[in-house]
Amino acid sequence: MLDLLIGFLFSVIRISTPLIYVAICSTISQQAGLLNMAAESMMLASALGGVVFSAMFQNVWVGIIMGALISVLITLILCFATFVMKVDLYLMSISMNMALTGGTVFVMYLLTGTKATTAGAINSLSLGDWQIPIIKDIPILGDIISGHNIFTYLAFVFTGLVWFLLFRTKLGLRMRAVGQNPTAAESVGINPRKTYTIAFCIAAFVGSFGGMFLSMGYQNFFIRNITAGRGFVGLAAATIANAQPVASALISLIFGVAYSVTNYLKPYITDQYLLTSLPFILVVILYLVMAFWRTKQEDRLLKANRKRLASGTVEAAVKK
Amino acid sequence: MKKVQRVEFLFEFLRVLLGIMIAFALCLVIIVMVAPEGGQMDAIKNFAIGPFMSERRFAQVLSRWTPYLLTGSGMCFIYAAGRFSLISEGIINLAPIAALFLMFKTPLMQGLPTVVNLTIIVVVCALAGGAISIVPAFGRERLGANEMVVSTIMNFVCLYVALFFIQSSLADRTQSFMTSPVYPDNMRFTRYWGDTNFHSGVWVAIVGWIVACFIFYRTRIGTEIRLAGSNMQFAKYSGINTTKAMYMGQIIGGLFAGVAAAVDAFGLYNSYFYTMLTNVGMDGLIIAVMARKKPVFVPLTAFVLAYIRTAAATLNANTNIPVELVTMLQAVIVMFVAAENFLKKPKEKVIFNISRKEEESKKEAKINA
Repeated sequence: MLDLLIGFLFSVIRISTPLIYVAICSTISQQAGLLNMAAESMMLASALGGVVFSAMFQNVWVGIIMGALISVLITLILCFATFVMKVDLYLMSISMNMALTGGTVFVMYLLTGTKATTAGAINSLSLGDWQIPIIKDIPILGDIISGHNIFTYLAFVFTGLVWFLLFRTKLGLRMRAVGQNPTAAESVGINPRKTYTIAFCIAAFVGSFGGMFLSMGYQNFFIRNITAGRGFVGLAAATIANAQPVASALISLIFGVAYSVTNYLKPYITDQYLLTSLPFILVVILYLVMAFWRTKQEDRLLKANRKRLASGTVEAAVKK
Repeated sequence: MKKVQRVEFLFEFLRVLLGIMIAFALCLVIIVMVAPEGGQMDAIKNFAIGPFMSERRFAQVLSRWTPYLLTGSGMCFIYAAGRFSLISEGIINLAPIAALFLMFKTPLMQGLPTVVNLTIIVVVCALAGGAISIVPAFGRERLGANEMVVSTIMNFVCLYVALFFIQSSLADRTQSFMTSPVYPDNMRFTRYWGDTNFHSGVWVAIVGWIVACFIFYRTRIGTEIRLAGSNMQFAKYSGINTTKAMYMGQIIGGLFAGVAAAVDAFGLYNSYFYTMLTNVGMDGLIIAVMARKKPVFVPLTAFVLAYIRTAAATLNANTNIPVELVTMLQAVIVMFVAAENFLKKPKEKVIFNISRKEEESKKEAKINA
């Protein structure tokens, strides 16, 4: 029983890893005031890019850097289209997602001759696991926390880094200012378009690691449509957490629990399709509830402020 | 004033045409680069005029065109309302399930003539589609949740719930793969041209398109949707119930997607086959973008996309170039067609010149008088 529980918690952390990356990636752009719908395309680009380049150079780190660069490059196309050519951001994000879903299959077919997976055809590398020196000897905790993929630990490092970037640096302050009110930010000399582009590029960099975890983490091949909607689940997590990096990582862990419950129940329940849909249903319901709560809260704040303003003017009038 | 409008329209048209041509040219370049030595001419021929080369292939184009016409028209409403609900994708998979239950689990449709049965199927699918599309609409208008996130995640829910219903109660156990029983002859659209993919659902699609045009341009609700979509504040202050208009825009889109689901599932296939998302709903969005949210142009743009898709499939069958080439093409088309700044300067120049000429002629008229 204890073994089962330990295995379950271990798999929760493993399954949440890509979600954490996407959630943080969405956090950055959301703080800058734009929803990052193109997370799917960022992940797909880096997942295939990492596989191809790590095989080409036979070096994991070169693969990772190239994967991240490709992801940023793809995002620059998106930024060019939306901020220079003035295409609607959502529309462009949708078509980027579609293009990358097909485009990765196209490239994969040209390289390997199959449309399903690169396993066997491309000799790519994966990032290994890491046993944390002291913690791995602690009985239960060690079994859960230690021995994960390096990407998993990087996810938690990134969470801290993004928090630092957003709330403790000049660039982060600018991003949040643009997110609050682009016109006001522009009036004090911040270029919103530049800030958006930078925010999206950083988001792409972070999100690309989520993609590479899928294709270079605990497996070393790329499968067609490897992300399977994770980009949007991560975005939902970020929105539920109100674009706070640490909170969105925690929400991703909750979604990870839902995913691994499904995985663990699969042998016992025959209706596997209904089970597969459960995490998605949970995400939708949680997202709707939190959105409702947040709109209600905004209304309440607006009302309270209006009241205060009204009473303030009355007092001022009385004083006169 | 009319002259300026004509120029605007001309440039709009030019932009769409240029976008498609640039994408097509890019595609040809990629094909030439990718095709094996000596096979380039053959590959280009297959891609450019492949679908016209046999009756069967042209029937393939028309069979794709049929659901595109409906999802494209529906997407025009959603897109004109300024919303990006992608729920049509899930509706294509889930809506036929309601009709399947009626078909195989109740005796209602057994003895009825084909026309009545098809009407029942179309209506049931449309209602199911409308009902499904209420969820993201409600999330957006009442709860303030982004409709695109909700609809995209719901597409997966729709896919798996549809598969669940098939597996648990509708599946034909004698088949080795998961499918519903074969549709009886009086409950499906008849195939034309000697068992090609072209089927009588095309009439439903054409009628649906005419209805869409009528609603969009000639009714009160269509005008409200267009107004609220283009300028929410203005619509609100002119006394339009914008919330209702937004709901209606998304639900009408869902209804049309439901009809498209009926036409696709009961015309193209002999039994319920879908085990993946079909991409028909997403293509509807691309069609609506190419038509610049105007349902009148949907048949044309739907034909362009159906043609390109079939051409790519032909290419895939005859050479080793995969069909996924087209999805990249679509992104390029969207990028040029939806770009507000593409061809903006020449357009402004032309309009400026026209206005100046008009002013001058007015002045001359004044002097002469």
